[in-house]
Amino acid sequence: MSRAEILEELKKVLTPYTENKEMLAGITEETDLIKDLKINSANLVDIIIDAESQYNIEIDFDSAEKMFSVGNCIDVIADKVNHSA
Amino acid sequence: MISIGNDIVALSAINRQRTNDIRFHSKFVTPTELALYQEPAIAALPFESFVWLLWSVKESAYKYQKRLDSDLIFSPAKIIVQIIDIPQTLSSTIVNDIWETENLAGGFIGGNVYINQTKLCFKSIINDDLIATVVDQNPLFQNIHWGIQRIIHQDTENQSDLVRMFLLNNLYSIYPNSNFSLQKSSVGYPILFDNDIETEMLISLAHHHQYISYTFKLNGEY
Repeated sequence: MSRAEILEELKKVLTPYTENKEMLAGITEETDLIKDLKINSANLVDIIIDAESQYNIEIDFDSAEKMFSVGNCIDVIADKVNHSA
Repeated sequence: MISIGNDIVALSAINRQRTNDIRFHSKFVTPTELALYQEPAIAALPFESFVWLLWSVKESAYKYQKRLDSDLIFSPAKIIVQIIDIPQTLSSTIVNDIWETENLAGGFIGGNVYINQTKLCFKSIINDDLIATVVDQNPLFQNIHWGIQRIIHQDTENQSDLVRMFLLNNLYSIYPNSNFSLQKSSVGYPILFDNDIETEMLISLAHHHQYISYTFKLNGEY
């Protein structure tokens, strides 16, 4: 999966957790989940669980703590997807 | 170094079924924390309240420590709640539309939490609607003010405005002749200004769906 493909799928994962749909449509790798998308931190675990289901991967503690920006999320997901391929 | 941190969780907004799924709670609840649920007083709580209490304490501890270490990354599985003390007589804290206190001495759920080898103390409220927490290094929680307000569910930007207004209303009741304003630090904690001069008052704000909460520590003439 390319980073662009992961980004498109990631938008679907993030959709239920942000009210800012306009910004979501235009997210870049620099977009911060909390500061920019205003996602409540209480939903961060939901996003990890949903990403695990979306990409059929498992995200451990150490990887999960890196997932605070879109780019970091893509890094983690790409790494897990490539290792499970 | 001193700091302050708080958090609030609106229980109407959590997914109870998902919370009970080990795949979910094992992302931030450690085995030693899970063992705390074997204690009868703690096991009297609904499991999802126990899980979100841990989250609320960890989030509050992170906010406390982030002010002191701007590079800190939120890693809830590495913030360890060691003790949860549920008093025999819980304060009859019924949060109606507005609840405020400056006395955190007794009647609250309390305990200890460790973040990066720093031991912090917490006080929490749990009822059917919410879980709210304040964290401090001093177990006496002296000079700490805490408020919770129920609002009509607004979008995130409005929640943020409303919690600032809630805080400032309380501060003006204490310092009526001030001219306060709030700004956000580069790492996200609120900074209070009086007549455009930065004060040293420690403040933490939280919001989640229909609940907003402030806490601040009075330090003389701020």
